[in-house]
Amino acid sequence: MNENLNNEGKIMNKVQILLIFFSILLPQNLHSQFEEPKASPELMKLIREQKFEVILPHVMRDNKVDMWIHVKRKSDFFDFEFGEKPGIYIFTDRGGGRIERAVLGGQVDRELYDILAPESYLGKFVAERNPKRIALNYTDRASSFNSISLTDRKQLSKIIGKKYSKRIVPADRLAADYLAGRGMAEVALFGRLLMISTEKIEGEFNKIVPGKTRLSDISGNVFVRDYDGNEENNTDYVVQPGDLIGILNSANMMDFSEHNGGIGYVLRKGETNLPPEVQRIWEHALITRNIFRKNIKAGLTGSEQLEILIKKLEESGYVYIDKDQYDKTADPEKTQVHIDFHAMGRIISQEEAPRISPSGWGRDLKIPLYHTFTFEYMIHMPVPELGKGKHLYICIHDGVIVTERGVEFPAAPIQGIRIIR
Amino acid sequence: MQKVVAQRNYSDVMLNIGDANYGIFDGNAPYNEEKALNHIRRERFYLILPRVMQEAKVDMWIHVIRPWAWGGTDPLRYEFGSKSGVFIFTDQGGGNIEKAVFEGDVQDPDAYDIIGERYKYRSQQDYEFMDWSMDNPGKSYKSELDFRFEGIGDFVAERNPKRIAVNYMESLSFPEGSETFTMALTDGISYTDYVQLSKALGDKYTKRMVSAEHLILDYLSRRVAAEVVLYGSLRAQDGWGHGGKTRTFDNIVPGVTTLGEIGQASVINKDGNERGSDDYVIQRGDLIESSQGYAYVLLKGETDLPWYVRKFWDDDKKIREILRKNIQVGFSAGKTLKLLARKLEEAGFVYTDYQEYNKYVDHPRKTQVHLDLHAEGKGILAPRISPMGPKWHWNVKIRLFHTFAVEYMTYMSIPEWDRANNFRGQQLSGFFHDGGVVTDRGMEVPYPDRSNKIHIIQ
Amino acid sequence: MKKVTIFPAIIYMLFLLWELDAQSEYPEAMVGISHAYYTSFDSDNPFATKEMLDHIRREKFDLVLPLVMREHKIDMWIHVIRPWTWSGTEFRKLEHMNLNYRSIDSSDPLRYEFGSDAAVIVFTDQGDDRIERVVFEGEVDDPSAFDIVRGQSPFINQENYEIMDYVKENSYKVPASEMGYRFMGLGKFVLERDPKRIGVNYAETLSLAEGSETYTLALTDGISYADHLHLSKALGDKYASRMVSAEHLILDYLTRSVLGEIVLFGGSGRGSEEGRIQQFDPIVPGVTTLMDVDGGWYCTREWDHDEEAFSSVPLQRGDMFQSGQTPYYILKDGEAKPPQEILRLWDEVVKVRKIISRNVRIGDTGREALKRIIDKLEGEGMAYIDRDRYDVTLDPEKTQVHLDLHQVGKGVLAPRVSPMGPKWHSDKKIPLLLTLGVEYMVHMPVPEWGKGKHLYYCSLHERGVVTERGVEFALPPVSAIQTIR
Repeated sequence: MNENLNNEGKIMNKVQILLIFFSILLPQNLHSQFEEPKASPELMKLIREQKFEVILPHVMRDNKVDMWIHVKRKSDFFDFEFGEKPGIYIFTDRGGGRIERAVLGGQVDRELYDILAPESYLGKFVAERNPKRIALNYTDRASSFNSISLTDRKQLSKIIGKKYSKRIVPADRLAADYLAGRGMAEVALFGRLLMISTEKIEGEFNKIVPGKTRLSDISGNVFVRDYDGNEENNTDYVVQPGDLIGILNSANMMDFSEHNGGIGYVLRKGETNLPPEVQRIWEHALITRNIFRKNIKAGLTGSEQLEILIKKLEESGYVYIDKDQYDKTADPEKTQVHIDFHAMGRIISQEEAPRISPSGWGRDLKIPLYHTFTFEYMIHMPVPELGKGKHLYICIHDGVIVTERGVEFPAAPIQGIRIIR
Repeated sequence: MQKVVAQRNYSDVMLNIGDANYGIFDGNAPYNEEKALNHIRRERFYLILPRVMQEAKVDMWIHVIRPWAWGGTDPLRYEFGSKSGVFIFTDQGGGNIEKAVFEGDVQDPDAYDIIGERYKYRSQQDYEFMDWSMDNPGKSYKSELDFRFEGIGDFVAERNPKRIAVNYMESLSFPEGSETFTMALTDGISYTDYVQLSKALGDKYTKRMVSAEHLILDYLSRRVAAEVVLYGSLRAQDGWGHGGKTRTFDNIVPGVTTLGEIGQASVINKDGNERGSDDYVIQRGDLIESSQGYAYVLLKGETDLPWYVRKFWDDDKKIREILRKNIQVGFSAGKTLKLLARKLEEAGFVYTDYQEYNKYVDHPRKTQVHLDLHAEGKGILAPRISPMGPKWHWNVKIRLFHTFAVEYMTYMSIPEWDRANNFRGQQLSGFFHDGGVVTDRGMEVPYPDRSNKIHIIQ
Repeated sequence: MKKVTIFPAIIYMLFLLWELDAQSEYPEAMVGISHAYYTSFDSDNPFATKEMLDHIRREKFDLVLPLVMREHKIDMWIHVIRPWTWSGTEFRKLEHMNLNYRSIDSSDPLRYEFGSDAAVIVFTDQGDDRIERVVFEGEVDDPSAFDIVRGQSPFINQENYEIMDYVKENSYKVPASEMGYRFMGLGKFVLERDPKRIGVNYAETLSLAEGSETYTLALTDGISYADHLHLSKALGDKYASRMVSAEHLILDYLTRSVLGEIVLFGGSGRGSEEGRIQQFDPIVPGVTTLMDVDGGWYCTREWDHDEEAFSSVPLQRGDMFQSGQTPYYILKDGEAKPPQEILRLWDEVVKVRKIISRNVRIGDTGREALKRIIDKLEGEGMAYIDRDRYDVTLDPEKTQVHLDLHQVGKGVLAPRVSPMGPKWHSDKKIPLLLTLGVEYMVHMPVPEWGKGKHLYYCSLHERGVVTERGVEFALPPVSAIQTIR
């Protein structure tokens, strides 16, 4: 039965060689390095249009705003969504499913906007629409959303008159909600960026030579903690056997960005696999991942969500810590977990976006459907055999999306602790 | 002889859904790596599998994939990552589905809770039965087919399921209704396998067997977010297949530039006649369609698009808006078609069942629209918002993240063209085939589909 | 009304069209049975032309078909071949080899016999000399071989307007499900012929697929449950109850050859022995490995020889190896020809070959033939082994022989003169003109070399044909051991 394989083997060697040659070439060309996507005009237009169509009406109505004025005098955080050119961007809910989009005194894609008019038209424009609540890009608190100058604000109030000035409210929550809303094109982009940053991280792990590579030689946010929780972060610390190394790296397309992480363990002499305590901490990572996955829903605020997660963690025998620091006063038998599920994708800052976290203004924002964020959580696992207070630490950082079904991973999350020999 | 060796040379095609030629999860899409596909498989096991089983009231699903079809056309080979295996999914309550590879090979063993051995008697060429005789002295068997599902009876009895879905078809013409029937999805297990499985399960559990056809269709028609990522990666990076060496619209010189220089293009001239050969020289009044988009070459004295091009484009925008707003999660494809037809007619169009201009309508000057919005990505066309295909295409509900072809045709009558062609009847027809995703918000587009601007060439 | 289309398919459609267009560039592989990887009807067989294969098909319809149907008392044979097994996947993998996808993927056992990878074929014995042959639905490579060819069903592809159009014209007789179109009209066709026993291609006892030559090229286990269900519905209770499995009929049909097949059988492979003897690059003892010379295995062995491990072991002077069917001996320094023990091996090989040729008889089952050959071998002082592994516990003077003679050419291994495989392989009777792969393995001990050391030869598939005279070779078997200096 082996006849034909042998008879044809000689001829096929040449074909095999060719096949192998091409099969090496082609996959490398296609798959060896994901490139960060280019913000093609078509893609930008699609994203902007999608957000105008499916996000804008909801966020304006949820925030009970019927006119949103964004005064842009230079490049700002809404370049990505609105366009880069200065002007006065006005969105008006005139009923029906759609929001009217106008730009006064600016240059934009005419296919995306309904009205282009000179800035001098502002007063008349507002009066014609008689809005009840006007959101403007200012805040009463220190905030990155406060992007209008005082001069512009005063000038605007003067132009639209007292009647409408009284109706002005800060647009921070509206803006944060708008930034947090995702269309499917952004969802697809998010997943691709996650794959790119994962590939970058894997590339960095490949470079590590224990005893030689310094943390500063590795690209990204690179950290190692000892059993007492002392951290080396991007320093000249040389990677040693027994180290648990975390690497975070990012990928972005223009202002759409994300970052995720990987974990590696450097084998000690004589070790061929992860030692038991490292395997244990990984198991905790998976158990807690499942707890988070099952208990996060769209529609709750970040703080409401956090309460639920804390409860579930404690029911499962963990200790929740509100800082990323081992709590020496807590039950020394219990593993401690810190959570910082911050937004990713389009954010002005992690603080000013929906956030399931103990801190930040964003805690009070609702988690919207298709919210892109990270499962960033830190496990501090006591290792009693090493002494009181000694613990292992890992940081998990994976991109996720919340849908009607709960939390989904748009790209493969970290699959395990990588072994570095 | 080459073929025998060839089969040894090639690695398992599990790597690439694109190899199913499903059109969407394309082999050329840069993100279709094994890891991504394994991830999708697990996400679907986590999110979709419990749902579809519970909705179908099935607590055990047995799915048999045989390697006989070397290419592997089982509908679920990518979902399960195998070209050969017996898969058993058991609902253990609480949203937990036990996932067992009762026997077989899988690409992604970690996605399963139990991995059995490869079927010992998958190949019966060699010493298999000699060894069996040595291990079972004095015993005999009637037929080698009896070994096929050895052990499955006990496995199932331990779990005592009430309803067992098995992949045989009863009423859904799966293969005939697939995307390109030559790449058909099979019509399920063989009669032989059905008989052998029944014998192995015994009377008690055989009576509980039902067809899994609807369950399979349901499973295939639902998507997870990670699949939207892959779907959206198609052509997202660089628009759509620009030739690189072809001219752009900006460089067209009427009377000089040929269609061949633009590449993948065709023209409707000012009299409504189509021209497509590479050596055709572009003239004034020509409407050009190519992979770059659309362009119109102004006639001498013209300063803007002629009315019919403007109207065509405005109509298209209206149609897309109707689609965007009215394709919703939860409705069947058939109901959605009726709704869209009504909305189109309310908006002043004529809905037509056929992919050609219908001259017998009451209002021949109204733009006619035909719809064939079919699923994309898995080789099945359902749910299908279309009058075409078998009934079961229309009965399937549209689910969250449904990925589909936004395929529609428009036909617009143009009196000037009529006159120019001795009233033989010329229409301006458009064919659109973009991609869409359905969410709670309606239809969204995950990648830039086509230019929605017509270039004007002076 | 002329329709003017300004927007041809965009990239997605262009891409799909490119794929479909590519397939039409390649020659239809139905021409060569070898494309089934059946090992005998090779693609490099210049005689395996379409004309020859069409001729073989018709000869079989005339000579074999009536015989097998009557022997099995079947007066109607319905054979359903579905195109589902074509996936296009394999086309994409193999497209650079200039092969058409169509025949590669379909694995129905009778696709070459009938010249189709998608059809419903009905043979009816109406009592004459010949059997009525009808392509009830589908396309065939050789329409003239059939009496009626009705063409492809419009419902084989239900993507477009097929159902819509049918329903509009036949609103009063619309099947409950779209599967009802599958065998539309077959009930009436069968009723007109009123058969008593209807053979249908489903398997009941024969593990046809698992028992195929190389299971990844397996022959299917017959029609789907869905097809069986809907066929039964289409035939109605009266005729559905007359359905029987055609598995034995199919096996019989596949194992009987006509002379045209013998011509091809003898014309395949490398032809003469000279054509099969390879020219090697200089072998450097101690450096060149078996893999380097594309060798199959070592013939000079210890008792516990591990074939795989030895593929990268360097060859030495005094080694013997096999490449394909041909054995090669590397002369030692000072040797002008192989030593006696090597030559003795060849004598044993020829002896075994002769015993086999004289003791395979038409009408015997494979098992009966095996027993006869074993008796003869033992009568000649050899030892029979039921596995291809040297048995160190047997008499160290006796040459050990293992047998695995089986059908070649159709992907089916039965009839099989061997202890291996499922029972039905050896239960099958040997028919006239069986194309037999004469495969035997000789393990000849060489006591002078030490305990367990022996020489090995495997004939692979010598091309035998079984006639009333015994086994005759359609292609010359290997005649001698080749020497390498």
